[in-house]
Amino acid sequence: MYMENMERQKFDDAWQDALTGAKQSPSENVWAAIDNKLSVAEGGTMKRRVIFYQRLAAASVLFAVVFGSLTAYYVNENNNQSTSNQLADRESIVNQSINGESESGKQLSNEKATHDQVIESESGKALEKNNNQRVPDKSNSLSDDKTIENKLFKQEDIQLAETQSGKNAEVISQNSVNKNRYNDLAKNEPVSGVTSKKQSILLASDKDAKDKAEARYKDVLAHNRNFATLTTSDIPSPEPHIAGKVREVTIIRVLPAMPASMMADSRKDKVSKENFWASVGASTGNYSPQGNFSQSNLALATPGFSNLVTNRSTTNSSPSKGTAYSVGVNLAKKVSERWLVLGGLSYLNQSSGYTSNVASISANNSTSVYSADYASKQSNTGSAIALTSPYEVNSVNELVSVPLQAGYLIINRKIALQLNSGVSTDIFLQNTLTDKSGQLNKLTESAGSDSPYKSFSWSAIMGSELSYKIGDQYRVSLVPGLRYPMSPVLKSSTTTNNSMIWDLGFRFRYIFK
Amino acid sequence: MLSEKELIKGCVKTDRAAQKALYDRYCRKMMVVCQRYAKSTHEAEDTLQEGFIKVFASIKSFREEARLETWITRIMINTALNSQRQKLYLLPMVDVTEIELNEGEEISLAAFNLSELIAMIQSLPDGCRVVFNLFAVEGYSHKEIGDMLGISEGTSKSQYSRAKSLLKVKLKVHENVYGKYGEAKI
Repeated sequence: MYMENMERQKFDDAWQDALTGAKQSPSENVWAAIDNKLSVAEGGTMKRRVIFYQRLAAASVLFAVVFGSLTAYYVNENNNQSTSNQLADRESIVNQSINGESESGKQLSNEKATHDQVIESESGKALEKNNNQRVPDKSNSLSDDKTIENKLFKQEDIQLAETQSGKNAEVISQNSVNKNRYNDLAKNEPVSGVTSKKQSILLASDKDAKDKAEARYKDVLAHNRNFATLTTSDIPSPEPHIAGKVREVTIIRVLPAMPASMMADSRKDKVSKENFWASVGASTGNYSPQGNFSQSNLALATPGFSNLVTNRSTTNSSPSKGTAYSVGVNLAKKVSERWLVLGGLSYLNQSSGYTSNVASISANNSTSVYSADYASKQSNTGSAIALTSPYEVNSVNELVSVPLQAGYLIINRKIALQLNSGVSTDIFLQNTLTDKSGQLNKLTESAGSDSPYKSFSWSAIMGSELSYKIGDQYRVSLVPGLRYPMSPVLKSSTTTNNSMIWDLGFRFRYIFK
Repeated sequence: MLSEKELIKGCVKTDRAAQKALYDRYCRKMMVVCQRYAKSTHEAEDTLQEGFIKVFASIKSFREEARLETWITRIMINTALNSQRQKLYLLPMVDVTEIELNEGEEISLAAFNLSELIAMIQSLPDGCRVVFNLFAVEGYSHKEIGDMLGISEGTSKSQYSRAKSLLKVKLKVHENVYGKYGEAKI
């Protein structure tokens, strides 16, 4: 080392002094060549930018197509389900017309004694009105009565019709006392449809079929099918039943996410170097609520009430499409160049409305909104249940969601696009039922052991996030997404009833350096 | 006159005027650097051109912890070494002890103009020229040069010694023609 330093001090220092800071002009051609190469490079950059935006546009179109297709499919599904529910309602009305007429006077008297709002004469008129709207032209036999069902049910529902017919046949055969009255009632039924010979034969002689139908009817009741939901509104004219039709569902092939290699850029410095960030945001969207309660739930939950409901038109219509919104915070951490993990906490509010004519009367005579899901609890508190005039109910579910998602960055530039998918643990806070007219007290139920609602449930969540960098440490983003419950909120329910949420959110992101 | 920061900012935005200003400010110094490593002026200009393209392409990554001139010089040297790397594989493995070093002799290059000195360096064999530049002018140690070029420390030393002896011979020839320290030129 000493020798090396010695060398530097003499020979090398002389050269270093002579050459350090020395200047010599290059030829003019050098800058001309540099200028030319820079122009070519900038042209390439422009070309890459065009390609980038072309791909971004393609990705957006692809997303829109997939989103639109799923939405259309989802709406179709809902329409079909709605049609099925309507038919089930009509079937229940037919049952009621047949079975309940003889006992209606007694039940209505009880009802009047229970609550002032229940007016026997009105209900009777309502029932009469319904029957009058179905004034027959020529019906005078039991088989004519079956034309109602034949009209309601097409061939696709023949099993269901048989079940109902079997029940009716049983009722008719066991209750000969009511036969004349039934005939009178049957005369008032519409006969615009074509009489089904098959149903007539079944009613008249096929005992085996009747037994089979009875067994199936009981089986259906045991499975808690929603046959008993009634409506007080005028019965619409029967519509073609399409639930059993084979629908052609166009399956849109979802192309895989744009390969990262296609989006790669040789200039690495353009790629965003964000590794950890937090964001706050809010979103709002459509919510298809779960059936909060059904007529069968109502009957099962309140023994003794079944007679009442089978002789009166009660309305617990399927909830209409509701709205949902959420606010929350999110954290995200990159685990590789394009993959990231997201977590967070958000508050969810899901609101829907439906019509009811059932009310709960407490021991101190205060009247509140009734829910069959709360029936067991209400019975413990000595509450009574009564039919009342129809009123609009607003049902609000409040939950806290703890999502855990994996994300993939398709585009990671100033404009970034990422796909997120994962699961969310939903912690139920409370459900509030409110009478929109304000006449009845609102009813609130939180989670707990005696609550009809589960404290925890799971949801699948998926969405995309299109963000724009507005500073070194900030981004704003649009977040379209969907949430699909994987487990029902209600303890008594075994299905989720397709309560999917489509929403569009906005997020403000802070990037930690 | 634009400040260094303004120049950098303009170059980051690919402002051509700023790029030209940066080139004009440093091209002459960098030309000498390139000439020291190149075999000819034409080759040096190619290196200079390629080096400035790299400077403009990577100026976003420049951190102000270092001087801009030092950073650009480093890019030029790397560019030159890359162009010379194929030749460096052919460096002969020479035992250091074979080279007789004549230590302590003082020299003065004041009598030589820049072109003459560069011509002497360019006349050196490729390996000797690179090692001489890195050791004598840039100030790297033989170990660093060995790591940089992928050669042994001993090879670096032998190449340097060879370059030094060759340059001394050239200086001697020059002395014989023009007198010691270039007195004959005065």
